[in-house]
Amino acid sequence: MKHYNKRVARIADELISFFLSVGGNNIDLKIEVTADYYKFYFKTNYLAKKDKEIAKFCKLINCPKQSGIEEYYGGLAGESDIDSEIYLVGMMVEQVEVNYLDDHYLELKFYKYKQG
Amino acid sequence: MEKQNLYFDKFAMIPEKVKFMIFLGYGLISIVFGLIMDTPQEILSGLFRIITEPDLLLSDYIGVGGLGASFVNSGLLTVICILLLYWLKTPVNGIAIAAIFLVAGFAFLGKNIFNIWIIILGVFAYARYQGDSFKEYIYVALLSTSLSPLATYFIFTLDQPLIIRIIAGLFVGFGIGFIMPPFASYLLRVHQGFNLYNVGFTAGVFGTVFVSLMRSYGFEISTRFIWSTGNNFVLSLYLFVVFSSMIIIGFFLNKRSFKGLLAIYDYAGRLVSDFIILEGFAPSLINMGINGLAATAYVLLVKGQLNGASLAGILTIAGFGAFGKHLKNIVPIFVGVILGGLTKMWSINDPAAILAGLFGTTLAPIGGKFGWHYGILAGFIHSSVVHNVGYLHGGFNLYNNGFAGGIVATTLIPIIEHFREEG
Repeated sequence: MKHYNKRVARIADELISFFLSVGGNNIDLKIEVTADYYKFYFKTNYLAKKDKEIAKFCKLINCPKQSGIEEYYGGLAGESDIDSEIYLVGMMVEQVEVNYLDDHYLELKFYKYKQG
Repeated sequence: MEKQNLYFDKFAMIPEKVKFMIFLGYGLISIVFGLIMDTPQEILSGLFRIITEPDLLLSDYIGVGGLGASFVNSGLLTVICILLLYWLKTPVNGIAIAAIFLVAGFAFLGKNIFNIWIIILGVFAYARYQGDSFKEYIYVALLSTSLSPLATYFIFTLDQPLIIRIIAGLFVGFGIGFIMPPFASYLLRVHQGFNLYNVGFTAGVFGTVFVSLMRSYGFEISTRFIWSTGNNFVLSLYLFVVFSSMIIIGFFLNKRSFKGLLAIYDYAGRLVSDFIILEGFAPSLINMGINGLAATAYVLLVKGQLNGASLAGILTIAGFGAFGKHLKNIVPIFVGVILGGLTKMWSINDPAAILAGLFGTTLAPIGGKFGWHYGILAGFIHSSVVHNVGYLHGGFNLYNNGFAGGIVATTLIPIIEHFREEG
């Protein structure tokens, strides 16, 4: 599949869609692009009553990297209006770091390497 | 820095070698069962018939080559696939298991130790063309063998000199393998992952275009219908032992518990629900065993026949027990297909209806996501659609239900989505 830029856009789409669905109304996304990788910085708030969904998100985004699955199924990320593919995002990215902040804010950092 | 496995400790708990050995064991059991059922001479002549006769739908290999040859064929393909995955250092995840069982199952219904390689070679060439490792395409390579009958049709059936037939068959098979990875990846978006047999949908679309071209140049594709009967007792015994052993092995690997099984039931099953990654190997193995028993029970309850075709469906349901299917999302499909059989112009135990019930579970994620009533609706509609699409690809696409399932999902999902509230 290649098309790394599109993959990154799909990952961003999934994250934004998910956090809008859990009440995020102050979302920051920064993507640093280098020759070898894309580095994501993501900070958002969420509704307090969505703690359970956030805990599940943290589990799914930490899915082990699966390059074979990404190659075939990566195009599904960011496609559906009615369901999220956070576990697919988890299978596409590396070095995930999740930090819970005060006032129901969450900070997320991870990498998407251009090879593998 | 690798990902911390805080959430996925269970993923790493069982060594990969053990997982490979378990499934290798099932391949060997299939071979041993085949050797018990027939004499070596009968198996060899059966394998020869399986390889040389047309493989298009519906070619029940138990009817073509006998019980012994078809089980040996399935076992050999299972062992070869596992060794290939092991050699490529592919992780034993849900899609790998689903692909192995799909090949093992369709080794009773059109795939054999000869015809799968041409397409796999085409996918290998595509990986090289992309400058990628073949490991990244191995799943789609194994799944794409659904169009294997097209290649062997040219080699064994075409009315041309041998050299022309061989060149044509290799060219077609290789070409299919080469275009399948991008094509299959693209068509995922059409049904948004609600049709689990996406390669079936892809192969159906490709087969329809290809066969239309063939027919417009005067090629006549003869139909085939081989449906064996009379093996319900011995096959139900075999399946009961195999699936029960999965539950027992999973139970012991899971520290003598069914922990994680209910968590699997919480997933809608939409692609990519890899239960082995998400919930662990042991509960997934238990789920596979339960799925297999449920599928076998379904065939027996509707008084259907256990044969090569239904074995393909049952093994596929078991395999996808690691990749999207569970009791909660497959039962509504069964109910929908049974309702179809009771109200439409065919019986619930007609061959096509039996296969619609088993393979219709490709739409399990619809019930899983939107509720059981939508699952029943999907099964009900699917049982009609699948009766009408086989002609389009001339029976060359072994995953005919995947093709029909793609059409049903593509029809239902936009409607459901449109009338659903955001949130």
